Amino acid sequence: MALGYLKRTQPWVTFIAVMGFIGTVLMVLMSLFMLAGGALMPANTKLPAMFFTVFGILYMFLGIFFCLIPGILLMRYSSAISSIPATGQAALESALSRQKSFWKYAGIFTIVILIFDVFFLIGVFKYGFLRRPH
Amino acid sequence: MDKQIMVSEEMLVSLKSTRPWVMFLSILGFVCFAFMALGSLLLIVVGNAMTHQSNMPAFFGPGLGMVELILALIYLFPCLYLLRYGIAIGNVPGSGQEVMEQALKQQKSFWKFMGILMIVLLTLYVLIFIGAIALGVMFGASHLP
Repeated sequence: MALGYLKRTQPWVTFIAVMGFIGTVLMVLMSLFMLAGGALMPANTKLPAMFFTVFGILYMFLGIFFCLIPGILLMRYSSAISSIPATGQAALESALSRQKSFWKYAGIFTIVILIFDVFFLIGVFKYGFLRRPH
Repeated sequence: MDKQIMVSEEMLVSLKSTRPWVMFLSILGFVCFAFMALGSLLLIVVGNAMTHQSNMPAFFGPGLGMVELILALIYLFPCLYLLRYGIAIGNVPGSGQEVMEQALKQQKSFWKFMGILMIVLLTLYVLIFIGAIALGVMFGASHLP
């Protein structure tokens, strides 16, 4: 029965992992376009080329940490579930340990993002209130 | 598949160390839900007053508020599933087998919900994409000389 629940978890986890990989490809492509745009842009336009470079790096960061790594962790969870009937005990142990890795990663990633948010807010307040445009 | 598998110490350790992260994420989710729900109510109430005073179409405000409220409600479900998973893990050493089953069942519900949600979102994206192209073509055609 308990194994039945794990079996039924597997297709969904696999699906979301694959979506994560597709997301990675899209994000990295987007990032490369942005970086290329930033590098090729003429210097005398109103929009600073910096803007593209910053967004390019941001997309690369999101692609790796928000799509690729969770995708890999979920894929490992899913493959551990599929090897349960064959290897029994040990496979169930590794399945549970791998889903733990995923949740730990998700928790730490969230904390990092929250810290970034706080810095971002502080930055916005500083620039917004102290350096008003003349 | 009915091979006997014992619940080992190692499995319990993995589940136990999953629990704080799952609890943390679900509680954070509830906080986000609260903000979203408040925001949507604000949009509905203030937006309603604002659209009456300005020339904005009445849809802005109340309409967007409703959309946000629906999004918040959809967002509530994974948080609930995670909370139930966390609670179920907390019960595990208690009465063994069934409680372990309960924990695995809750995490299954979570992943199923996320999978279905993703399919729904992808379908919506495709529909919006097609709709946008169709609208663009229709608009273009009606403006031909």
